[in-house]
Amino acid sequence: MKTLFAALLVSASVASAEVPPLHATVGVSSQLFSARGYDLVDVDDHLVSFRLAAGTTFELSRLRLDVEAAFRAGGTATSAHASVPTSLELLGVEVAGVARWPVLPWLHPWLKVGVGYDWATLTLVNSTRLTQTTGLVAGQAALGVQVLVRLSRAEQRGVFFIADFGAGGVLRPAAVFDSVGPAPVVGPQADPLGARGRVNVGSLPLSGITLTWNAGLRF
Amino acid sequence: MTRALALMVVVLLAGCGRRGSLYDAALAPLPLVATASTVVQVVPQTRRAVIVKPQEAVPAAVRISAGARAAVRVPQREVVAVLGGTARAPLLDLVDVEARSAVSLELPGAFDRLSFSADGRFGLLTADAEVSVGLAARNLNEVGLVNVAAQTVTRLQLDTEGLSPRFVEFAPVVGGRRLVAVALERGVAVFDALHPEVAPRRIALRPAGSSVDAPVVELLFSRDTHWLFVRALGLDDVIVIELGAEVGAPLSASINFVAGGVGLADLERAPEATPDAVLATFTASREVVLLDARGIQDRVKRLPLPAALTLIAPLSPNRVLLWSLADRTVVVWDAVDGRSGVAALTGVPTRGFVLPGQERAVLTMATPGVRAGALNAVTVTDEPNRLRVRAQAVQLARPATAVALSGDGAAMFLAVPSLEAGPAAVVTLELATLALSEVVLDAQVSQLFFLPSAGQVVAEHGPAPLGDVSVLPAGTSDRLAVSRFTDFAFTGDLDRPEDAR
Repeated sequence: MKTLFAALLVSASVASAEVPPLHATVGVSSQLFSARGYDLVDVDDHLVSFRLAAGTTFELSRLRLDVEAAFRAGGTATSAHASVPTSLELLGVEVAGVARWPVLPWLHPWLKVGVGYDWATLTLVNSTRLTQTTGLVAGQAALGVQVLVRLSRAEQRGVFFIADFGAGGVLRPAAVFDSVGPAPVVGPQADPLGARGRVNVGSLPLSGITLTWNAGLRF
Repeated sequence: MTRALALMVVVLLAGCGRRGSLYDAALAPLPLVATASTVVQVVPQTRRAVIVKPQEAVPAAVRISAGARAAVRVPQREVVAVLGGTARAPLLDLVDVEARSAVSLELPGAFDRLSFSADGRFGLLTADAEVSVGLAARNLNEVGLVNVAAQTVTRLQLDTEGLSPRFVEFAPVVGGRRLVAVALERGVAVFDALHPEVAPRRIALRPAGSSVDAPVVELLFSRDTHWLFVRALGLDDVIVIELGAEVGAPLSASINFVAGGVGLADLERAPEATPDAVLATFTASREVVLLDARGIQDRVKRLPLPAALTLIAPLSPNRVLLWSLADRTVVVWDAVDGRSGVAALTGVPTRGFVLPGQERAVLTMATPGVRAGALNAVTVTDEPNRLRVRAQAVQLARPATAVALSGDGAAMFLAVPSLEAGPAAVVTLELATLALSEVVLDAQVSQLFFLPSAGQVVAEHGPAPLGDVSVLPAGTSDRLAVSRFTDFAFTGDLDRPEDAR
């Protein structure tokens, strides 16, 4: 494992001489939703997501501009109405620009602006499993700080461990769950019924505050 | 910067919420209500009336007042009336299922029950003495008269010494008045719904020389509303109240006790040819009697019965059907010409459906100890000196768990389980030909509704408190024509108007 990590650092240092700086991070974000309807699927207003991101960096005069693409997935589940299991899953992709100010070599405050697209899935399990997935455009902005730790000894461009923490907000149109129903049956059925009705459960605002914690490498 | 950070911390702490109580309580919808084209489920917790319409894949919902506790269809209209609000601020919501809207009317008191006239013009709100609504004091003798078209509620004080109204009987509109009789523990109150400003007439029903009050169990207006016939618990006599013809003035009434037999069990309107009479069955003396309202014995007609038949229903303008929930015998009697006929059913009836327009009746039955069920279609053939009564049997694999009639009486729908507590088949019986068709559904059926405007049958699967129905075209035997709707009590659950944090 150590050999593999060392090889990664060496190859990254060599590669960095020709290509723009790259970075990859993994992280956790928590989205806080205060809408009353969110209580249907959660008990404390938090939706925790895992996040994978990769990007590159452009150097401007006093700024570093990171451009990254990310994938995130999270969800929450609880029981509503005494005995009805409910859940909300949120999958999303995101493109973001991050402007960093290197106030110290190891400390970079940043401002992030991004847009994305999320797929929200609401599930209610009673006599049948009712579910619906709806797509949402998302816009987000955040402020944070990045801490860098140099891992290699190269003078020009090294390999850095990066850890950043941020807080901001995400704006989405309300997720409309107006056709929640059983998942379609795949394959042939013996003597099926003609149709299944669906349920308009309503709409769920999914705009809120975000907190993010990311860790990764820049090389 | 420091201020911004402090603000952010405050916002984050505010956002770290706890769960409110909106979704803690179990959803407990009221029983389904059917109109001519829809079934409606009122869900008090979400404050919604959920409208399941056969042609629409997604049920719609109308927001209603909080605290819904009773829902009743307004006859002849696509309207469902919902009693709601609180004990101190009671409300009546009239939900128009076609327009998908609701009108909320303030009520003059906390009521528990709602009865409507057959034409849906008027409703009467009454209190239930056995229900406590949490008020320190409640006047059980006030009622609320609902004028559906005008969307008004008028308070009426019955001024009786009874505990509370037991039930309500509406008369048809005759002579510019619409009489309403309210059965009480100790008597009857009668008023004119078209003139609610005139005080109700209270009529005590204590027989001469008696100190015992007889609770009213049945009220029946004559066709011309000149008579009000009353059956009281423990009395063999039919109580006959002769009503005056006053309109817009206090009603006059005189009371008479008319004897016929022993063990008065049921009343029915007399044929049109005998307007001043009433039909009554007597179990102890085993007879059905056409009683003259004025007590003139020369006009009384009697038919001895082969068994104690307790139920009577009109089969045609002149004929009545008599049966019992404890005997296999049915009798048809022509009260005008005196002819009669008897038939033996294949079992003891559990329910009876009489189709006066077709001079036909269908009785469902379950034989104790026998798994199979049955129904008998009763028809009448005229013969010179008697009536020939035929009971044609249809075998059912199990006793029917639910039965409904089509609006025109042309078909009957039965839910018959294929196994003990297994999925049920909905059987369609064409009453003119006794032709049968059936379609097997995916679950048990607890209740059937026929939606005449949509030509659809709705089978409620139960017990399923959050809603589970199958909708099928009347008479179909094709499962592909069946649509199933489940869990529609969740409709609007995310769009809750109240904040219960």
